[in-house]
Amino acid sequence: MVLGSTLLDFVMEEQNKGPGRELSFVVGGEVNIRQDPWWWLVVAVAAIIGLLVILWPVPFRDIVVFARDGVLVTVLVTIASYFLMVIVGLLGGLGRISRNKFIFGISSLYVEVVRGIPLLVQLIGWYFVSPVIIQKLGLWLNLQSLVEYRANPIITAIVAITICYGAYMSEIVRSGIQSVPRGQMEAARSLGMSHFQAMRHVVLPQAFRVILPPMGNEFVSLLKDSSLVSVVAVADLTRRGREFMAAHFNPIETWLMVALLYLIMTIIAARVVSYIEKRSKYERY
Amino acid sequence: MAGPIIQIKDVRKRFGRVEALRGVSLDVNEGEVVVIVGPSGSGKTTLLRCINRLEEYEEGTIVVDGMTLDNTNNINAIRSEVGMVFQSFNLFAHLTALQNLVLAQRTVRKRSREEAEKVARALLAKVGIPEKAKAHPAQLSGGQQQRVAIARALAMNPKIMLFDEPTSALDPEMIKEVLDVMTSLAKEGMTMVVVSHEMGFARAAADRVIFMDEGLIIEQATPQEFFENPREERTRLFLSKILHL
Amino acid sequence: MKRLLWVLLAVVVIVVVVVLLQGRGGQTGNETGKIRVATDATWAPFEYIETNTTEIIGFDIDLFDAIAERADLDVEYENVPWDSLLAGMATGTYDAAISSISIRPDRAASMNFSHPYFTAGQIITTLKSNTDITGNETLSGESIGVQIGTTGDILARSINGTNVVGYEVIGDAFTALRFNQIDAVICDNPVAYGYVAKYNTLKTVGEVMSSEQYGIAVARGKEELLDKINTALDALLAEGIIDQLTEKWLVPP
Repeated sequence: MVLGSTLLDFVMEEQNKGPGRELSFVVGGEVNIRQDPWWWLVVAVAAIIGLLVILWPVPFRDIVVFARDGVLVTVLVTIASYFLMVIVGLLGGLGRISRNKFIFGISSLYVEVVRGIPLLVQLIGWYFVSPVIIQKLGLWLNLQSLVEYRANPIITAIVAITICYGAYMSEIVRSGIQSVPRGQMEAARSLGMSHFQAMRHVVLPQAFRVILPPMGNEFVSLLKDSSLVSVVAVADLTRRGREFMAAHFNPIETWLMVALLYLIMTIIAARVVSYIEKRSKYERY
Repeated sequence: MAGPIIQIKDVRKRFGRVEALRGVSLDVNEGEVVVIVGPSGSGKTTLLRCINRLEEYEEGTIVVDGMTLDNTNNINAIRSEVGMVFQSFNLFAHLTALQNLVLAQRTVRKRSREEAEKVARALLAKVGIPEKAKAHPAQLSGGQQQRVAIARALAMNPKIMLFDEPTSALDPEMIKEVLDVMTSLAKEGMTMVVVSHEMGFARAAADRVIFMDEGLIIEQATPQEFFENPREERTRLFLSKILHL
Repeated sequence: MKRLLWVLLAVVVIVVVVVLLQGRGGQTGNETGKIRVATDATWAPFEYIETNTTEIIGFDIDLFDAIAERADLDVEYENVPWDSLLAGMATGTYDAAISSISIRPDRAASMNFSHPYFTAGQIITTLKSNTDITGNETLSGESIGVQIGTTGDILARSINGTNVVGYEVIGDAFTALRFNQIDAVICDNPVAYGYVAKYNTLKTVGEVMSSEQYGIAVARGKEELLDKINTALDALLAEGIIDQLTEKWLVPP
């Protein structure tokens, strides 16, 4: 139950941050949580996982132990893709509002095409196509290292997800920027600031506050969609679940535990996201 | 410098099919306060926004402080000499009042932070709200916001100040505080072009009042002539509707 | 306090539900109606999908069709991914399965098997250009493609120092091998021979590494069905059906 008490500590700390909030800790394990009721869900799910593992170690503990590295892969793929996707999204979003016809055209094409193909199809496509492209490129450029290229399925998957989610992120960035009133840009320009300066100091900072909530949602979404990489030879949590089920023939227990593991990850992520959102609001007027 | 500081000649502008400006010519001399009045849709705001090229015109020329507006390479340079105050204030919402004044000084005029803040505080005092330096726009009343907006434009030490209906979005009790600032600015000799419905201000502070209708300048005169003895029929019609004394 | 109680109640309810669900699956379908036969139709030449007609065909399919005719069974085949297939047999989702299933004690604990009808073994396939791998002693440090959950998967993981890459279907593993993304594939030898015959850049290496017997899986509680299948199967085996099917479907090593 170390996990449980650490969780409680974290929750208590959370509560202490509010002004004038007192925490009554009653001996017996009760913590009076008044602020965010959703933290209860985290505790509940963690408790369910804990109970299942302790009371029925076969198969639940086995599943958790077996799937451990899958969880790490899921987290790795999610975080790496997210980070890259934000960069792609920023570039794409700026491209979508560009007055340069070429840049606008390319980014619009990118967004339309990528949004029109399911993520799974893109994942599988990249998985099979990218080694071939690189090998052909190697032959063409006469680079032996490219000809002998070995794709790392995880990296290929991260690239595919980045490209796919980057398109959605581009639209989020674009609408965030466009939500900043035109007058802001006009005022900045009328003071003599260049377009770039106006974007950097006036428009983008304000756009950022609008973009933040959807960005948070995209993270949780990405965490769930990462399960698709199990189809392209990546040993993530879902894949580990399938492997366990194939070897032990117990789909119900396996999938229950896998679902709970995903759930605890997404709920924690969602709490972190809403915490960051609240925090950014305090900075405002 | 020789000649008027603003020279507008035969400017035409359309928005799609609608011709907003149909051949407007106007000279404004340094230190002059010009108030433009007219019904909505007359093109007065469009004309004002052409002066700092927030709107681009199709025909004619505008020369500001010796620089022609056609060559867009120097647009930022021109704009730093021409300050603009907007009807909806357009203060930078994510910055404090002080930061609003400091930003352009540092990025455009390249002043140091200390210098910029010094200028900013002096201006905030001048418009009457030095204590609001650390406030965000949302914490200020409309009148206070507009005064900060004026101070922000002044922080760039412009040669010309443009006002686009600066009090139209204000509650009545706050109009006076803004007009007072504008009046004292006029007294100090700032070149001002003001689009406004505030006839009291026009009468008291303007050197010239200009009436525009349907994209053309119909009449221009000193305030006294304009209000007491308008020459054109249309001017008289407009005034009869506007002035309910 | 009240909230805490509600949460605890929810936790208890969920745990209880899970425990109750631990029972093995019920009776799906009925004995006399259509029987659902699962197969992972990505395993040529035993079960795969014919390109033009999109029907499932292969060695196993012909065999089961023959059994169905003898035993007077009405059969409906279902194409099911391998990892779900065995799990589905354990929960009784399907009545039977024929899919080159190797009879193993751990599998037999959750489902019934018919008499064995075929013997196969795992074998290594590599690119012809690969001279490093000569047998299972030389596999350490290499990347090996397998289909997840198969006996090939189990064998590959048991070899020290290998990097096992799991694929959805064995075809993907062979594709990866052909494009030099992995060093070798381990799978049942009839399948391997089929791919080697089809792609002249591949070759099998070394000896067959195991001896496995294929059986038809039948869900627990369907003993009557199992008997019917066995009776028909025994008769067909005696009539030499395996030789016929071998000649029709399998490629010589």
